[in-house]
Amino acid sequence: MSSYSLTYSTELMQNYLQAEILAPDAKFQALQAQGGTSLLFSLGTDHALYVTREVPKARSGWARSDVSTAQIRKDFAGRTGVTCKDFATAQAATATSGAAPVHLAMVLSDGTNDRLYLSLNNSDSPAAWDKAPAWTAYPFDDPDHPLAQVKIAGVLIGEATDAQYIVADVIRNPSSAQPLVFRYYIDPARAGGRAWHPHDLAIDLAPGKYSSCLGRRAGQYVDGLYTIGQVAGAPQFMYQPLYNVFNPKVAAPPSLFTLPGGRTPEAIAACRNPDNSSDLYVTSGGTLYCLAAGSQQSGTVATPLFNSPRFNGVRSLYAATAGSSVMVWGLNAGNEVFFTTCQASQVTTGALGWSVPLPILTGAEQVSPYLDRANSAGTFFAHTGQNKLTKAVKSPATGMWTFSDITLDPPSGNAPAQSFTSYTTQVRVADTVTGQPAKGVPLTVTATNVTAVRINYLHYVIGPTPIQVPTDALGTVTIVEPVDSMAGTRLSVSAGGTRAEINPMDKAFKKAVALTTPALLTGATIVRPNGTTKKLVPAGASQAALQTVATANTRLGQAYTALPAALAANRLLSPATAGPRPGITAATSLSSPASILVDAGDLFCWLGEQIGSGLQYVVQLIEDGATKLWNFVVTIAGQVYQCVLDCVEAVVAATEWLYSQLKTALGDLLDYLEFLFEWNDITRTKNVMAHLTKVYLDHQVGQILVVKGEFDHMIASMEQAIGKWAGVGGWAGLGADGSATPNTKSTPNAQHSAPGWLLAHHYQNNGATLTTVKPLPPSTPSPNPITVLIQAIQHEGAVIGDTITRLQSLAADFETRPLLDTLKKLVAILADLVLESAKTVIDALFDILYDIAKAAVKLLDTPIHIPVVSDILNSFGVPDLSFLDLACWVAAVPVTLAYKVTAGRTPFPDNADTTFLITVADYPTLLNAFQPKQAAARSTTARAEAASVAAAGSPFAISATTALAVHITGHGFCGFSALFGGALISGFEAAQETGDNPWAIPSAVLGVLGGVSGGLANAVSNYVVPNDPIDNPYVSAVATATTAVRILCKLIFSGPAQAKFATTAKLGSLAVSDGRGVGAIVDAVLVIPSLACSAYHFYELSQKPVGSPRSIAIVEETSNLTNDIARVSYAVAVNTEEIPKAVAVGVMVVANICTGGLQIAECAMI
Amino acid sequence: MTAQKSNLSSPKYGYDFVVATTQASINATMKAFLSGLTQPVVTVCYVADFQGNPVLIDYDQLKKNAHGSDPFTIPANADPNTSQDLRNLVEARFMMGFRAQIGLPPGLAPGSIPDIVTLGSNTASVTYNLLCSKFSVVKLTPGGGYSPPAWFSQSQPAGSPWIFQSKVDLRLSTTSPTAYSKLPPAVQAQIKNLGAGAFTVQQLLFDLDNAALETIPTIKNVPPGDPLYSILQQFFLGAYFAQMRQNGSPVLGCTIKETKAPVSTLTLTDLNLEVLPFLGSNGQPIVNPTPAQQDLAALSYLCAADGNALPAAVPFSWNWVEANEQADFDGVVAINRNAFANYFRHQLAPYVPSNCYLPSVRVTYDAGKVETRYSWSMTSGQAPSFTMPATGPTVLTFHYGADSVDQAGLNGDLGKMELRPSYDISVSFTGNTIKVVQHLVVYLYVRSLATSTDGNVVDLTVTDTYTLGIGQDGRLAATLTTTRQDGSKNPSVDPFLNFWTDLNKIIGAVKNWLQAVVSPNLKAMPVSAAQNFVFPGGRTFAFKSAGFSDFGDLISHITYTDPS
Repeated sequence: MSSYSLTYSTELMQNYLQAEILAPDAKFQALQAQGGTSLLFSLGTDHALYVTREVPKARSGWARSDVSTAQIRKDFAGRTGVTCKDFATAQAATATSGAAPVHLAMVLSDGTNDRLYLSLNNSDSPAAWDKAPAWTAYPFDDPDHPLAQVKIAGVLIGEATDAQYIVADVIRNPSSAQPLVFRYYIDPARAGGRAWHPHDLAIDLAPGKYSSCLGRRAGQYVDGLYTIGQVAGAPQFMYQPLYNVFNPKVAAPPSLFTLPGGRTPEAIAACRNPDNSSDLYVTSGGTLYCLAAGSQQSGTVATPLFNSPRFNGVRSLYAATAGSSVMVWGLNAGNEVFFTTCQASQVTTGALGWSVPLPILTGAEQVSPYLDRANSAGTFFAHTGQNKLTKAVKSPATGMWTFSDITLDPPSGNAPAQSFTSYTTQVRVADTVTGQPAKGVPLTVTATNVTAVRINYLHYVIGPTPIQVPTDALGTVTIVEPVDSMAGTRLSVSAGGTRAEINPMDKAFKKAVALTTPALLTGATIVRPNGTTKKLVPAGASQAALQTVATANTRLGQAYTALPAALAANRLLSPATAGPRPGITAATSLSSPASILVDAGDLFCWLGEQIGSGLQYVVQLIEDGATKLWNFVVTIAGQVYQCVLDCVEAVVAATEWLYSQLKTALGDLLDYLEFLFEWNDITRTKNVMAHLTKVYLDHQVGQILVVKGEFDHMIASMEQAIGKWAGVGGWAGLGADGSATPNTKSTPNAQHSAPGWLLAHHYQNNGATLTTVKPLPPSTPSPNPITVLIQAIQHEGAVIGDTITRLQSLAADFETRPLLDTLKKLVAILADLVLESAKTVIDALFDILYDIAKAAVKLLDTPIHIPVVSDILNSFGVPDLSFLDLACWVAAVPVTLAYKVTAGRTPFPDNADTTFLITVADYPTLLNAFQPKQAAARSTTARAEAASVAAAGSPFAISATTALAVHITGHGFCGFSALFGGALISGFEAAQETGDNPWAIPSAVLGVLGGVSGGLANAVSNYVVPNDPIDNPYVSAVATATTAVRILCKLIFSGPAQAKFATTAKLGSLAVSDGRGVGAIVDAVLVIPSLACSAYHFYELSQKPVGSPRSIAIVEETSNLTNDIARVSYAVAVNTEEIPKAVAVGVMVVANICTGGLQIAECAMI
Repeated sequence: MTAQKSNLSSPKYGYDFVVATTQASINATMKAFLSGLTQPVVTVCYVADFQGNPVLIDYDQLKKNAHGSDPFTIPANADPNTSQDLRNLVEARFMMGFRAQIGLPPGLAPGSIPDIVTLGSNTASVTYNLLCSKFSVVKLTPGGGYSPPAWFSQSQPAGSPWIFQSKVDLRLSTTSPTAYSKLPPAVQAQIKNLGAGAFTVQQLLFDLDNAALETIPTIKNVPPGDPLYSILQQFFLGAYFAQMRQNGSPVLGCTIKETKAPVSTLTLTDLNLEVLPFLGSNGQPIVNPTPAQQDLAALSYLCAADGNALPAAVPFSWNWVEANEQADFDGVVAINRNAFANYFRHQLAPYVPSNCYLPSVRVTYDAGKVETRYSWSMTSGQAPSFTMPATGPTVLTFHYGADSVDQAGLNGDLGKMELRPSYDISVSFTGNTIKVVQHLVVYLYVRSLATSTDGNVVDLTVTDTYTLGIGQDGRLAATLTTTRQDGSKNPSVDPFLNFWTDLNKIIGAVKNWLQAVVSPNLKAMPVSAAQNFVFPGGRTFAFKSAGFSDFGDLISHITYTDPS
């Protein structure tokens, strides 16, 4: 088994999501599907029945289907106004293992009559049926009680494990002033020829004022219905089996119940036991009552359990057992969702046995319970006042509540992304042997809270139950947890045997509690990304309040430090059997005798709800003498509540309530704590690099004819030089550098950070839907030169094909092979004949370049839209962007952030140098600004073009600092382009079947950016740091020329002209079939002189003294080598299929990562 | 032919109320009762006296005599020649024993359990099946002479219960030669339970199970030639049954638990049982009823309340539950129209006199001032008369009327006044409503000199409609809507005549006074008048669908509550 190292970066930062948030429907119910995912049924405001299925590992996370309309079209063809007016769902609640089938009922109404439909025994893998469940119609068919009009008042499906029970209530006398309900038991098998069997209620009920729930009295053969209601204002409360088991023809015997004092029951909830019997919970006027399953004889008076204001006017009540605990939820008249839990054995022990029911949510309109069997967490879905459907989960391990939206696919591909506060964590997995990113490694993730996150852009619910996510090509797993407060979730990740405990809250928390004096508090300033500022604490806070918070910060800091970094194993172990936290962590020191000890998660949730309504409260922190745990004490409206801060999550949650005492808005606190992007700095980096890239490309386009004229001579001269060297011998002088493997020098993770990869992460995941806002510039190359080129390739086909195949065999494992070995094998491949063949092809290329290079460069300026990425850039003022902008932006963020971390300053401050770099008119002027005296002396003969531009003279001289910035940024861009563009985007591109794919241009542009930025870094390098360039002017010239040609070719062969090069040819094992293939072959041909130059350069270097200049040059030349290997692999990848293709893509990705790591390593070699 | 035809106030019947349920519902409910309840285990053993005759012996004593050997634990295949236990039993002179427990026989699906009661067509001959959850029989023949010893032990097998079927005389009347009438008073009181449990299936089972009311049972599901048959015949149905019958005891010690129930408005003081076979559309019992029709036969509890005499049992001419109602409810409680009207009369009684006015007028002439003086007053609290029509929707009326006249001068030529109030209440029962109409009228005549006028200066009608519902425990629930109509007239004379007499002023004064005094007293009837009524049989039954029959009986559908 491989061993891995884990590194991570985590920040509280803005993140973005392109999705539609599910708006609540008229009625909804939630069930759990296989694998612990949620299944929501809802009646839309458009009167259609919807199934919304949670789809883990999918992008939006949820998928919604209309399951009624098709049936209406089928059964009511040609009729309008037929709607779904009601539905019911059920699932066997006690099926802890095996299947838990889903039963559905819906009521279709044509306005006059209603018709019942059932779809029973659907599998709990809703993907199989959620788009079109099989419905069976059950029209009313009772001949004994004919109805002039069939009006269904309600439907219920039982969830017992031994049978399905379906009950439908009709209105007996719909036209009467006093309508009454008549009840039926539905037999789906239609035994006896009919489905509707009258089983009327034994009592009177006024419609609209009753509610029923299915359950079972202990010792009974079948399920029954508990029903509460009223008749003429008098309470009615009973249980009645669905049918009489001793004689189904007669009424089933009811059991009548009352509440003490004849009170009117307001809500009921049956709580199933494993034997299918059910305890009944009842609320009325602020009291929770219970009728235990074994104490439901007729005449029983319900037992009061305890009182709470939460139990006033309860509209819906739910109860469930999980493990050894009972949970009771509900929604009360004050639109509060409350929650209370108790050990099953303690139900009747009074208020002390139960957790204090606090309002978890306020402003809720509807609630549906949900039992998460995977995590045994208290879970519910609620329709809140913000017109949102929220999934709320109480985590078994921490007791904290998390809330998530139901996110659907966006309505359109370009729908704007929404920003949200997140803890964004990027984990990188590297192979400990190679030190390089480990692709496709399953990373196991567990979390302290049960919460919905996006991992590598896909929806997951994480929690104590482990999930596995494979790393991407860069060994990366990105976890984005949306939060609406400081409180987040700790993660534990592992790969192989290596584990890392990640606390994303750490930075933010420590920053928040660092303000330990009133002065620090009043001095704290929020800096916004656009540079504006605001005081964290609004003016007017009293000295006493400031002192309280300052002191509390110190204490919270202590509390935090004292707690273990990872949750104790016993709190995470087997949650399915442990159930929710059994009761509340005890406090031994109460702040006052009147203190109510409450659950920390519930209390913070409630406070969160109350802050919005301007509630006044006072916070205090006390240390429990016995447990040494800190307790949070809050006084609200004269009542003291106390909770124990026994986990990091709770301590962090406490912090924000501290600050809101100072009238600091939660949003401001988050702004203060969030990672600060400082977009102005990033913008200048991007502008510099984008402009310089264009200056360089324009210059190269202008040089095509010059190079064409000299190329044959250059090659001939180079061949001479190589010929001379070949007589001298190898690279023994490289010493240790020669026996080192490329990967040891590659540091691909050096500049990695979660914020740095914000844009790249979204680009990576949205690039496939990139669109051009304007058409691509037309490209009409003359047919003649193309024919010449293709003939040249075909003519040299045998040699080229053979060379590519041999180079490809060299590519495998190159990164872990000593450099010297690679060079030796390389020389064996690069005979004179090969170089000549390459020359023939390249000669044919020049005419094409001359013909269309100018147009190809224009491609870079084509305006584009890319979902999410464009939205992020728009959000801080970038209205539109081009291919080049996009590439520069994604690179500018990590490079600028890394530069600032390393150098302690921004690479391109707003100064004259930067202005020059952003506006410089042409390449010679640019290079001139970088011509220091001493550097010029060192490189007079090094580069033909450098020498030529030197003569032009320049009045502007770039400072050494800026030159260094260009150098580091150039390598940074080059490295990023290789990692992101080469490994990821080109990986996607190469994997596609044809060249006509959305990744083609982005991949090429990143390649161009990488080539140019690397070239720029080298062009200015001597000014910054001595290195050892190629001494031989001809070899150097060939190197420079082929680089330029290669960059221009990339644009030509990926752009609109690509198709014009389409041909079919067989080159050895490669089968060229399209323009992309031809382009890749041309690029591979260009590799040949490039490799020759590299081999020669290594020879020169082997003659140089050991030292920094040589080391830099070796790293740079190694990166050329790995880059060349990637290009050869690409040529193989796009001209082969299936396994050879996949292998080639893999090698290309690894090679690009190595290149990127080497380039990034160069940033630090100064 | 439904309960809608209930006509208890007919001279033919005259019961204050009737509780009636179907055979099917009784059986289902008895089974539910037995499914959830453990009746005592009865163990009976016989030993031989010195003549070899069976004599009862206490079970524990037997075991003591047999040195701890228990006949019910010895396997059926034990060899009497070798088994020490059997030898012990021989020494103890053991002959025979059985052990039984009333209950649902095991091994049958709930829907396949045989019925316990078949009502048939005759109250004196109701078929009762004694079912046992356990029944074991053991018999030991000591052997001797030419016969070897023999050991017999058999138990009721699962899925094939032994049934002991008898005919029971359920007539609980002492005025005719019924089985009941021959019982000692203490046993009679146990059987005719007038308490809260009067209508329960538990009580009915207790009554059915009383050996004194039963014929000697016949054994079903055991072949007559079988040794078991003869043993049961000899010992269980012979010696044991005879003894139970002699004591008036339940066979196999059936017990019931007293229940508490809401106090009924009508206090049950006597009852009798009556079987009513299912009637065909011609109103006559169906001669050869199908099992489904037999299921609909009803058992009626004929009840007298508050010490009223209980009329003799007479078959009803309607079915209490029709075939299409069988699944909806188990039976009916019907309150005699007159009984309920009487109740209602008592509810209204305290209220009525407040609107019964005795008027008083005085007209005098003051010669000194040359003017005629009018004075008047009315005193409420007078006693009204009432009627209770025997038929028709109006079940109760109250009436009060009085008159007062005075005059001055000759033949009233100086002035005359008359005040004539009347107050009527009529109460009618229709559908699910009680309508109470109050009508208060005050007639005024005034004369001054030769000018006179008259009219109903007060004419108020208040109509209260109680729409009945019923609480699950049998308490009436009602919603009250009240309408008020004012037909009061404003008698007056024309301005010319008024100039001379100022008669309009007098009329106005009288009218205003009357309106001020009378109007506030005329209120809607309190809703409690209806809501205070509690049906008999609460707790035993769940109640729904209260309303009046075509003949004004107050009916509620009832369903047995789960007795388990």
